[in-house]
Amino acid sequence: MDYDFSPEDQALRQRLRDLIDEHMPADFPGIFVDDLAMYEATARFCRVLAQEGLLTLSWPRRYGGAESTPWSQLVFREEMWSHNEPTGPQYMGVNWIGPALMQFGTEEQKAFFLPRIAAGEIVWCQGFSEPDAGSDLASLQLRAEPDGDDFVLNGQKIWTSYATFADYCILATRTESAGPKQHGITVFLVPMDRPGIEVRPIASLTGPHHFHEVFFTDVRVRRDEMLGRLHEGWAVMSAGLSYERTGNPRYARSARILAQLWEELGDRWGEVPGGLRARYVKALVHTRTAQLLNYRVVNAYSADELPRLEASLARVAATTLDQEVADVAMDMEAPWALFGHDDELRVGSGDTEHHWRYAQASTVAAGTLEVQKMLIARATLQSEKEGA
Amino acid sequence: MNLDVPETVLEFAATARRALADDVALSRTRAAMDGDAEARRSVARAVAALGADDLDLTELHDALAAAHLCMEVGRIGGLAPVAAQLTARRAGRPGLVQAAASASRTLVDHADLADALAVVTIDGAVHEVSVHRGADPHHLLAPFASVVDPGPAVGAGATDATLWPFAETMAAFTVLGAVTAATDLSRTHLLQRHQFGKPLASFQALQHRFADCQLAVHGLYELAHYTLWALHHRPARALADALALRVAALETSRSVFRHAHQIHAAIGLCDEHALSLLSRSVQVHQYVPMPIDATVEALAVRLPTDGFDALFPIGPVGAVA
Repeated sequence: MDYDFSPEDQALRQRLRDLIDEHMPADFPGIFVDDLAMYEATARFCRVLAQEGLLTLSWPRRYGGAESTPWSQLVFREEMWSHNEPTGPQYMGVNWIGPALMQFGTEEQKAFFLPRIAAGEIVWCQGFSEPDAGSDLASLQLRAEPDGDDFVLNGQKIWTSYATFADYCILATRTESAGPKQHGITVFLVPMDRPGIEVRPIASLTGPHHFHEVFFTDVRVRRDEMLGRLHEGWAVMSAGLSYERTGNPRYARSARILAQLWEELGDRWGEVPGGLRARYVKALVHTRTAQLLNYRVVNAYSADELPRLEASLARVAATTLDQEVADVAMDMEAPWALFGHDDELRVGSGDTEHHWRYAQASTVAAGTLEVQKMLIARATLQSEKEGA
Repeated sequence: MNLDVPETVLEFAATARRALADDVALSRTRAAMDGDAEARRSVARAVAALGADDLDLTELHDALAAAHLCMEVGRIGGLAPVAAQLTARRAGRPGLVQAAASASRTLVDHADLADALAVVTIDGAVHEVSVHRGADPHHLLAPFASVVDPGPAVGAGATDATLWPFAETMAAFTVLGAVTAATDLSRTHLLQRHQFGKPLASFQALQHRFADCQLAVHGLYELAHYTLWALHHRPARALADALALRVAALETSRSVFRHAHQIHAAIGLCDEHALSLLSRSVQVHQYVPMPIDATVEALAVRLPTDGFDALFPIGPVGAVA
């Protein structure tokens, strides 16, 4: 039993922090802001990471990766999360669309997309959710009708992040309605400049670029743009989980926010009201616990195990922690935290306001808190007969 | 980085469980709580037979074995003062050494089972104690607790800054055993008990309570193991780490037993059921050496000087974790 990272992983962490310091704007707030320069900074940073051989740490060597351990991948993810995701939207291409292409893609698709993802040149959006297919994703209805060698797409996606930035959409469509709803889904890789695609941003509390509606009207896609087999897209969509090796390191951002608050306070810790000090201390404890729960997940991946229960536990801990820390930080910086990165009135890094807004979605995105609790209950309440 | 508990420790824990959680465990716990000291002595003998005295507590491996032994004793309602016994051994003292907030009147569980009694205060000073009043089974929430008065510090006031953290870490593992057992009981009850024609496990409100129990227990498990490792590898931060663990143990205990009682309803409040006995067994630790708010405050006042290790450390601690 040993909780120290290897010297290599400690060096990797320091190298990433140095690169972020060197190449990202000071107090980089993430890309969910109106300032397009922040998005452009992430695009440049991805190319820097690619040149340094750090963007595709997890990938096999034959695709330009480093085949790094789950622990190294975790260090990378912790540093990205904690620093407001300097890779912008490109994490998605690296983390699961690239690996999905390796598993399901044709040679032509691999040859076209993988080098571009690895070079930090492609931004993806994920077209899964629909107005009537949220947590119950397999109910999706966007139609893909065969028409000669092509398919014609009609329907709507919603909540699509990065849709205005994206070069391509990994799109889940309905190609057959009969049978179980997981059957008859087909995935396409669709260029976002294809005629008939309309993106409408949805203004939201979480800030710009988080949510969009994407409408598909008579959009033509070619058969060679299909990823995986006809009607078997559910396997492609589900495979995302199987490439996951780092759990959910959201606690890393909470840890950084708490440290920033501490720095801001300087020698005024004793002046903080007792109740708020107590909440801050508890948040420190809960951050450590969430981190350790996630390390259990990575520990399992390191042993080639699939830690379903542990992953749900870690996700619940990290996402509820987001909200706990967001509330503590807002209260500590009240009321000026409300002004976020405002040059005149902001407090400290200005991250608190952004984190609070982001945290409201934490227990909703990628499987709601309630779904996660159902999964935990299902995994632990199976009767002996079922569980054996 | 490797979070695997050594196989030898897990085997030791499994042996301990077989020895302690036998067919008479429930009736023995009930008898002990009703005032039968022999029931507790039999557990103390079983613990001794497991070789607890042979563990080298300066080594992480053996300290882990000790911690898992505490967990097993916690599972059966803390019928033997294993945490305090191990702390005494680490301090090179006979009998029991229990954590105290300060050198003032406090409670010590199982004082009647030991010839020598002492407390270690949070600053690491050891004080021998005299019993002011013995345990009384009529105190349903503290059936094994004696009231003790500390004398002056022993050893010319020499302190060991890791002793209080060690004591509280072992105590936290004992709590971990109790909340694990309470969660196991809840699982069985949810699967076996039927209402409205179906098992309780099918009701989502109860599923969510149970998921919260699982989350709390797993979290405490991870934190307790980390804290014990850190005690051996980063002893300078041991007090902050132990206080953090105590905060988690107290929160977990409150929350898990709250859920477990709600899941079990009336039967879980009866001493015929193990849940009631377990629930009673953890109450002294909830307030001794100090309740949760005082524990949080103890960590808060030390943050500027002791710091807190994290991915982004608080205060004066080392670089990147």
